[in-house]
Amino acid sequence: MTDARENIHELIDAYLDGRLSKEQHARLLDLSRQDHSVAAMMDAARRAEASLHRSFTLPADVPLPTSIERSPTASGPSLRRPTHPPAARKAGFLRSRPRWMYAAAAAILLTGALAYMLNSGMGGSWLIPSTSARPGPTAAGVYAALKKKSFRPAFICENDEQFASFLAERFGHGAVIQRADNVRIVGWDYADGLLGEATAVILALSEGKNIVLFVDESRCKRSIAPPGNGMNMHRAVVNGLLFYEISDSAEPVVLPLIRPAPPILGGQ
Amino acid sequence: MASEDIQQPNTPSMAGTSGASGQRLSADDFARRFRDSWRVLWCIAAGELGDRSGAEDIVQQAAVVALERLDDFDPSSNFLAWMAQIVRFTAKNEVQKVRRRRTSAADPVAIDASRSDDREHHDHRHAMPISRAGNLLDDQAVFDDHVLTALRSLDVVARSCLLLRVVLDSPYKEISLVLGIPQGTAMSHVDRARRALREHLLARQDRPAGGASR
Repeated sequence: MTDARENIHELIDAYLDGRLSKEQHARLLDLSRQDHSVAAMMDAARRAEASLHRSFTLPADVPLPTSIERSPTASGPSLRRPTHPPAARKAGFLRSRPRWMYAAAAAILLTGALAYMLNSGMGGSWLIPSTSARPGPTAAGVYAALKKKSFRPAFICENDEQFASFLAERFGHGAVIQRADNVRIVGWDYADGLLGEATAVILALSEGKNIVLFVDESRCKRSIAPPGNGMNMHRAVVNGLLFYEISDSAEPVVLPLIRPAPPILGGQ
Repeated sequence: MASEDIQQPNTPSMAGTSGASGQRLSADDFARRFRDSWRVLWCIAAGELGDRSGAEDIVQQAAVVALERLDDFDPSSNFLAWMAQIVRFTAKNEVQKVRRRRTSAADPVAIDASRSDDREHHDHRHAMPISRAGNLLDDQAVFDDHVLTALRSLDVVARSCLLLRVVLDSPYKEISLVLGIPQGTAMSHVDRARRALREHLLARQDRPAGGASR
């Protein structure tokens, strides 16, 4: 029993690391379908990876803290200390800001304090936004995050049955994407919190262009804001599933290929 | 990701000896190599700190140190490995500094109060995490906090290995080079770290909501 569990851990590790053969991958998918604890392990693992990506988003750049100047008399480069060396950067924060920023900060603080006082008096909490609340993800944000990791999927389905089963397990309805010469389904990723806890993302390629589809249950009547930035969003409902297609194409490419899957495929 | 080929590093010296080849890296070369390497260096710093905040400062501090020690570096050896070691030293120093700053007198009343706070905090967290199917039940921020807690419980090297592998998709050869460990060890660290994270998350899921203190 312990050996079997160890074996499953090794399979999941290899799966996450992209070291599984096709046969091992199929075996792991079978195991996850048969055993809820394996499915839970796999899902926890995928979500932990997605969480690491969120928590350790690389900064846009880490610039060199010093300006390196070539002195006309010196044979090599000379080093000039930064105006605000990193260790003193926090202390230097106030020094580098213009006065209008202090005024704006003071106004915000004053408004906040006033709101708090009013709020305490009224016994409600409508004036003070929660400080722990983080801005929710947007379609554009998810698209940008996927782009940053080169649209590499978190996992893939190897055939239509797996594809339909995954949708059915997650949303209660199955669907498949018909094959087309100009469209390649790359795989799946997560977009936790965009529409709900189960939001799934399909990554596709068409003529070298990346296409992202968000999937939700149509009965939930949730919607996502168009991404903007020259990206277009199209939507379609198929078999109780609501698909949003986001790409820079004027017309939907993948949506017309989506077909309902027979219920048998969606079963456990 | 650094574009240069992975070579064996020279032994980075913090003591001010000359580079083995007697050549000196030019400022332009330093800037170019730094631009190629900062992502890996940032991940190493984040791994050492267990957090992304502060990683950028560490990389910049390390760059200042490296610039001051440029004579130590042999341009024919591996820049990334040299910088990685400086980043690790810088981050370790920072962690020690923070640890020293946190040392304070032990007031029994304060300790008791903080324990009580911790318990409430944990009770709230246990009530949340993920469903049997691994789905997120509460907000993503709390889930991310769980993952960070699990990550911080890992050994520093394991944490750095995991971040380099997951966040940057670094090859094991590179992880081995920048952390100064064998490739097989890097791979074991990544596997064990991944396992520890999911076991931590699943263990939280199995705990009864409301916690044991009620």
